[in-house]
Amino acid sequence: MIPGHVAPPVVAPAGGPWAARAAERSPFWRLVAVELRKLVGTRSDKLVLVFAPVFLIGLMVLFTLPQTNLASAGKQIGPLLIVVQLGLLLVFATVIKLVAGEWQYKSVQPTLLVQPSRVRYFLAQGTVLAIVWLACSLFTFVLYPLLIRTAANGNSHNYLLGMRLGWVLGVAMLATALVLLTALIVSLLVPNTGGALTVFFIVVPILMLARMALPEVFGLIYPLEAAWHLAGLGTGWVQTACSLALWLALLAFSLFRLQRRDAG
Amino acid sequence: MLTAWGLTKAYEGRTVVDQVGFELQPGTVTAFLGPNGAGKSTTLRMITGLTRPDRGQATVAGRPFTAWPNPAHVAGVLLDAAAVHPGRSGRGHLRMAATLAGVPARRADEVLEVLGLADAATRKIGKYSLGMRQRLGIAHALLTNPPLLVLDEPINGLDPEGIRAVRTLLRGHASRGGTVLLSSHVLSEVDQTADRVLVIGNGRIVADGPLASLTTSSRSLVRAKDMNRLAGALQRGGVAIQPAPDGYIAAHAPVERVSDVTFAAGIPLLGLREEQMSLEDLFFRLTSGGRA
Repeated sequence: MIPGHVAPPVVAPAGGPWAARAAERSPFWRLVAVELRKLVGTRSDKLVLVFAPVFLIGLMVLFTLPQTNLASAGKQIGPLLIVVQLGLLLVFATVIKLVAGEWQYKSVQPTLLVQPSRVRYFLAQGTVLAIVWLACSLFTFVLYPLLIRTAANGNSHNYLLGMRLGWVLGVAMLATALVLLTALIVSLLVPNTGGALTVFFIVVPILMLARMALPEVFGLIYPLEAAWHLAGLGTGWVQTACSLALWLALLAFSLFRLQRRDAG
Repeated sequence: MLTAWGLTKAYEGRTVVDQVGFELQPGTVTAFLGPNGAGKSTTLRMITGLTRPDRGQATVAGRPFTAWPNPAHVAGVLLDAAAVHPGRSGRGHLRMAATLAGVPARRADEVLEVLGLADAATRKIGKYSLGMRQRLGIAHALLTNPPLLVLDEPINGLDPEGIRAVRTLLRGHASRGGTVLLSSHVLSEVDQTADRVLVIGNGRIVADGPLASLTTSSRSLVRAKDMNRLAGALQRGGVAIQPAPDGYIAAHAPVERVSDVTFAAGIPLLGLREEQMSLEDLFFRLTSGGRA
């Protein structure tokens, strides 16, 4: 030992400390923790997420309290499907920024150099999306019945969702899952934040309007058709099955692209 | 420490890397030189698993980089200093990498300090200069204190002080038994940093060896008080000559031969040395179409 020699040895023989550390895979929760941190990694992400609940509540109030025809359970749950698509847009914007932004700025490169498995990377992002999905679904499920009940009472209609809360929860969860899945697919196929946001913000609302106008035709490609079906407002099994098959195929294709995409 | 053999990659029918192979030993700094588009970055990306080779393989400490469960502890890699999210802070960026690699978060502050970025740690990366981004990328590579460093153009955009600091850092890494592979086109900097040079041109390794042996020429530079007498003696001795800079004559013969000829002619010399080809000369000779 040389007195005063403080520089640590960098390299150890094969099987030394670095080899032991390199042979130990990082636990999956660490990947999820990093992706969660990325979700709120910039000032704009934080701002958007802070305003997201305000925006959602505002949209919920807008689409529930002015309703005058709430005579059936279908009429009472219908606004929920619109609220999920429009009210959660800010949350979906953050998700799109997380997924597409990583590829746009190539910041996926340092991530893959530390943790090269693209499958684990995607699963970590998927877990973050699942957390977002649960939070949004539950938030909607807690708040929406309260507002629609107020609206129904104001119109002297019976509140019909109270005895079907499991169904309401199912519709809220399925609808939120389908829109999130659409956001994920768009982000994976268009690895550019601006482009992905534009596609998502144009495609989803336009398809919703088109589906309302011509449900038999646009129900075939409308990503939320299955949720509308579950809500009892679907067009038919053909549209539901076709829509599910289309979007699941797009998901598979986007994952195929992800595996092969050049990370810079 | 790092072995590559037969690495080959083609894009749209054009081969950009062709049968590239080499082996790096611990305790060395190896420079990977080549003009833009020569295949340097593609080779480094294949080594680190970001690009799939069409043929060939590279291993780091006996396994492909991506086969290590936690490869950041085997190799610290900087491929593109711009590949960072501009909205995040330097510290945030490194802390995320530290979490992924399983090293304490305080290590991020340590490497920021080493690279002189402590004052800018909380600033958005989008507001960093090119040199600061380079240093952040090097800090990322050093995060786990790995035995191998793979750095693509690490001194690009650095100021002279930064270049000297990085050179010292890389030499220090090698002196402690680490291995460094750095690509560069800043030849003068490689000159002072690398033990060995790999020159790549048109996708193929065109020269490989210690820097001194690659730049040694077969000519000698000689100077005397009476240059006319010196020139005549050399020509009579069958040595071809050419004018050279700084008042020297370039003699197409080894120094021993020139010494013998001038000694026999009784000419006192003011200087005699082997001509060293500049790295620039070597670089352009090797990569301008011809192959060594």
